[in-house]
Order: sequence, then structure tokens, then C-alpha cells
Amino acid sequence: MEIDRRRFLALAAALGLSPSAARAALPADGGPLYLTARKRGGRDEAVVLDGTGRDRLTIPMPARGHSFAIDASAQRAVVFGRQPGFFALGFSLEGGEPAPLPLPDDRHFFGHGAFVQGGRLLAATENDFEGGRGVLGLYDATPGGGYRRVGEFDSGGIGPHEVVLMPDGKTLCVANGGILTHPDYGKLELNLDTMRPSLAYIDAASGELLEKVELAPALHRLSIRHLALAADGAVWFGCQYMGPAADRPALVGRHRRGAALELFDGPAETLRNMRNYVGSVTVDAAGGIVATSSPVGGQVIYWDAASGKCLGVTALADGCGVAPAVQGGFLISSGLGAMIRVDAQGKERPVLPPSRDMSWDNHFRIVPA
Amino acid sequence: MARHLFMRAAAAALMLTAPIAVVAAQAALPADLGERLARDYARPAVAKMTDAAAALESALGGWCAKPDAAGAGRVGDAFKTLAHAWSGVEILRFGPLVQANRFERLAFWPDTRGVMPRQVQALIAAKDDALLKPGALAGRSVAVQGLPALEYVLYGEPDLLKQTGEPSFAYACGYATAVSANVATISRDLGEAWDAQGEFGRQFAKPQPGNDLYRSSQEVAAEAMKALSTGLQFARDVKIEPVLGDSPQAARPKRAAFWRSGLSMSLLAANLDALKAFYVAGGYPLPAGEEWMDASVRGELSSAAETLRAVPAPLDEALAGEEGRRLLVLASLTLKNAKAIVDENLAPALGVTIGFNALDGD
Repeated sequence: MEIDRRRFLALAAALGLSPSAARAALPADGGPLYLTARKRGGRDEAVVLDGTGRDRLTIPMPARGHSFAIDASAQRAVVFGRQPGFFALGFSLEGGEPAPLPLPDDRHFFGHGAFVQGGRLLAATENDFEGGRGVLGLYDATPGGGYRRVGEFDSGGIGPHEVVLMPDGKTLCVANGGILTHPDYGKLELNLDTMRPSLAYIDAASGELLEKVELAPALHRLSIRHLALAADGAVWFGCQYMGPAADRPALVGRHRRGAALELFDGPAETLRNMRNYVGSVTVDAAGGIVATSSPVGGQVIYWDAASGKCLGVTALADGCGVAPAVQGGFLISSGLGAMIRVDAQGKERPVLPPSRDMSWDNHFRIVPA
Repeated sequence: MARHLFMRAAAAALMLTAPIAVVAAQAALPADLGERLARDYARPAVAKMTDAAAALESALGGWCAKPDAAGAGRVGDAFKTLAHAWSGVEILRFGPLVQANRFERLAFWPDTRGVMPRQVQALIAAKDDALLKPGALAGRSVAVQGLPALEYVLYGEPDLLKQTGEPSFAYACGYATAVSANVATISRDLGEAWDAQGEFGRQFAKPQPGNDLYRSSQEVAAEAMKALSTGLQFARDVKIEPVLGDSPQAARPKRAAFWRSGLSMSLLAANLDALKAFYVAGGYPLPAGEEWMDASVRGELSSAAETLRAVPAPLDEALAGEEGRRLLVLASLTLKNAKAIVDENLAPALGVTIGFNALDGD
């Protein structure tokens, strides 16, 4: 697997990047740390921020990043390349040289992953693109394990996107988006006619498929992609609709083990303005409010986790990254460089102004305390 | 392999040139923008395809009964005309074309897993006459319903145009006729949807606040810019780059669309002619000082089409030779530049801003 490391380093060198460019994190100000990817001045970076949007650590990346697996107890994370992603980097939140994950030649990352087994193992959503099936790649995350690839599980569907560890600490929930892609054709959808998205629950120790739930056949083009856990243990999901724009399916839903999927559509105009697209899903610090962003529609919509009722909307052009603020409410970032804080009453305050040189990427993650 | 990986990473990065545009001057869009695009481009393009499919169906009908050389020539010509008509419709990948799986039914491609050849062969081997009845094909797999399947039967297996004596000829020819009829039906449905009386056509041509789909010329312009931009990206990232590879050894001629009939380059050039005509139909008003964009978009599209038409045949030899590769690389760069102008200059000048996440979300 050494070759993969060399490959990454060659790639990094070719792009003029150096892992040593990473700065050590400054002492925390007592608030939580956040993780996100961005494009700054034409360069792709992963970045550790504080709650005021200040950089604590930057990690250069060879291409655009997507999301993170976070192991808060060990103060470390892994950033994944955006699909079709051919790199993932493990790094310490305290700085130091990032460690590339050894990806096999016939797999690519989808951009999400999760630490399991108390941080001993990392599971990443991957594409077996010649086989046309989704897998969870498994990497040794023990100290000294070097993220050696130790195997894989079937993800229970095509195009696994986000994966989260359930509150029991033993079960993985995977959003199988249902879209067949091949890296030779980028993100082009190759099976729109036969898509079958699903939520799959997988035993993190054995890989056994414990439960799989699908949408009604009429909604087979509703790609389930992003996930978040509410305080009550329910899985909230956000979808992207691959059918005609004239259709207006609900894009946000909830699932509890053993039950059917529930979908929430909110007011008609709000739904229309989501433009059939949810880019990220997050739950607030107390776990009772769900935020779903639509960068295409330029808005973030809030939902009551108990009732599924739409609570309100924040407009932010190209806003996609959403993370819980410690005081309640959310931090929202945009592809146009802006960052704002929205409190629990929906009141907005600017954190960072828009900037032509800065694009905050899709996901914005808090490092749990 | 390491280089292969690098190429992939680089290609992925290229798609992400984020057009974060700040609008300097913005032109007022014509109120009839949608009407122009529908009337001057979409409706005639779809009508041409409907006629071409009906003509192929009729040519096949006569030839299947009496498979002579002259008839084979007529069938080949009719197929070529239909494929070129499709190149003009293919770029309208929104609205009616993405409803009811129409795009996939007309052109299930790229087919990375070889689904179409497998299913077509099985279907011909099974010789189910019920499948040849009007409308029957519409209920089957999308892979056996459209132009790639038709091309496969005519030019691949069983290579119908040359193998008229095979025992499977009658059934395969009947199947080709049924596919043509199916393509004609889908094209007619497309035409109805784009018509001024159709739900989509009405909203697109006359955007207004009460509409569900398009409420202003601004929203129509956004759709048109997206179609132009993704059309350019598709031509380059899907139709040229995977075929070209990063060396003559890495070239993959069989990844080209319609390689079996040898029409790949001519159809791709037709896609670019179509994008240009679609752009011109908009008659976009550009603010003073920004007129250069108009000349650039037209110029790059014409130049790329001309370059592709100059690629010597056959394609597999062109991909192995210096001149052929030079031309394809040139066309690819020209398209990249055209897309950059559309994303970073033209769209913003028309008040269409495309965000980093909104443009290419995940």
C-alpha cells in the first residue's frame, strides 16, 4: 500500500502542495472547533476553524474535498475527496503531517466516512465502479495502523453517499443515493431509469445488512444523500431529486428503525425554492431542530425534529455548509465566501463577509466536545 | 497507473473552475426569450427528429421485405439523418427530454457496463413477435429502445446492413423497424410538450408569476445557460476526454458515441452546431462593451466543430496518430474555453449567477 502514499505525494508535489504547509492549531478559545473544505485563491484546502470563522489549521488538498470523519476523543479527522474522490487524508486537529489513505485502484471515495469501534476502524463510502456497486471501505484507525485498508462491506445499494454511526455505537446508517456513476464520466448519472435509493443499516462489526428501507416506487429518482441524527435517535435525511423539475417531491425525511420512511414537504413555496436539491443536513446542539440547506435555491430551512413542521427559512446565496452553533442556532457558510450565524429565533448576524477569493464547500462540521 | 490517477484527479479538478461572478453590467432580457428559444430552436429540432425517425421506419419497412443493396444504402442514409437530428435534440437536456425517461429511452449512453449489447442480443435470440407490435417496445428496458440499440443492430451485431442472409435477419430487421417507430413516438411526445399548447412549452415560452416552472425570462435564461454550459461539458468530458486518453496507448475508440457507424466525430460536431444555434436563437442582448462574448461563443463553437470534422477517419487510427490526437486536443481545449466564457462571462452578463456549490453540488 506504500505505493498509494507515494502516489499522493507525487500528486501533491505536482500541484505544488506540501503537507508541511499545515500550521499547528492555536490553543482553542474554549469554544468548539469546526471543520470544512474550501477553495481559497484557487487552492483546495481542508480547514479547522473556531466559532468566529478564524483559521486554526489548514491542510492543502490535491483536489476538491467534501466531508469529514471525526474522532473527537483522539482530536483527529479524515477529510475525503469529493466524488469521484481519489484521496482521503487523515490528520490531527493539533497539526502535523497528514496521512493519505491507501485507496485501491478500482475504488473511489464518495466523500463521507465515519469512525467506528471506538475509533479503531474507519468506514468510508466508496464506489466499486467496475462492479457497479456501493461499498464501505474499512481502514485500520488504531494508533500505528496507518489507515491500512483491511476490507470492505457491501453498502446495501448503489452510490452510497453519507454514512453515520447510530447512537448505539454499533450500527452504521448509509444513505445509498441509488445513482450509478463511473469515474470516466465524472458524476454523470448512468442509471436514472432504474435508480433505487435506500437507507441501509449495517452492523459495524460484521457488515451484516440489518435493515434496508426504500422510498415508494414513484419516488425512485429521489436520491437519499445526506444524514443527521436528532437527539431522539431518529435519522434525518436530505434528498436530491433526479427527475423533471416540474415534479416537486418532498426532499426531507425522517426514519426510525423498524418504521417506514416519513417525508416532510413544508409550505409549497418553500419546497419550490429548494429546487429539488438538499446539499447538507445538520441538527442543532440540543438535537431538536434540523437544518437542511439548498445552495441551488439559496436557502436553509429549519424543521422541528419532533413534529416535522417547517420552522422557518434563512436566505443565503449559494449557502450549503451548516453546523450547529454552541449557543443554539446554526453557523452557515456559502460558496460565495460568506459565513453567518443564525440564532434559535432565526436572527442573523454576519460572521465573515462574502469574498471573491473564498468558496466554502458543501459541508461544515462541528467537532463534538 | 499513477499517471492515470493523476489524470483523473486533474480532470475532476478542471470541472470545478468556480464561476463566482460579480455582475458588473446586466442587460435587460427580452420578454420573448423563451418563445424565441422554443420557436426558433427547440420545436424545429424536435420536428426534424420526428420526421427522420418516420423516414427511417419507412425505409426499413421496405428493405426488410426486400433486402437489396440500394435499400441498405437508403437505410444507412436514413439512420445517419436521424442520428444527426438527435444531436440537435440531445442538448435540450431539461424539461420534456428528462421526463418519463425520454433521454435514456432515446439514447442509453454511456453504457459502462455493456447493458445494451447484452439485452439486444438476448432479445433477438428470443424472437418474441409480440415485442414488434406497435407500442410494445416502450414497456421494455430503456437500453433496447433507442438509437444506440438501432446502431448496434445495423452496424454491430448482427451488422444487419451487411448480413442480409443470416437466419436472424427477418426478426432483427423487424426489431430495428420497431425501434425506429418507438423513436418516432417519443419524438412526437417531445414535440407536443414543446408546443405552445403543451404545458411545458407554454410555461417556457411565456414565463409569468403564476407559473409553477418558469416565472420570468430570468429563470428561462438560467435554464438556457445551464443547458449551454452542461452541453459543452458533456461534449468535452464525456465524449472527447475518455476516448482520447492521455496517450495513444490509452485511447479508447470504443468509448466514442456511435463508433460502430463511424459517425462519432460528425455527430459530435453536430452537437456543437446545435449548441451554437441554440445560443443564437436566444438573441441575448449584451451590455455595451461586452459584445466580445457573443463573437467568442460563436467563434469557439464553430472552430471546435470544424476541428472535429477534420479528424481523419477511421477514428481508431486517428486516435493512434499525431494529427488526429492534435485535433482532438485542440477541440477539447476550445470547448473548455467556450465553457469558461459561458460560465464566467456570458451567464453573469445576463444576470445568471452560478454558485460554487449550486453549480456542481454533491
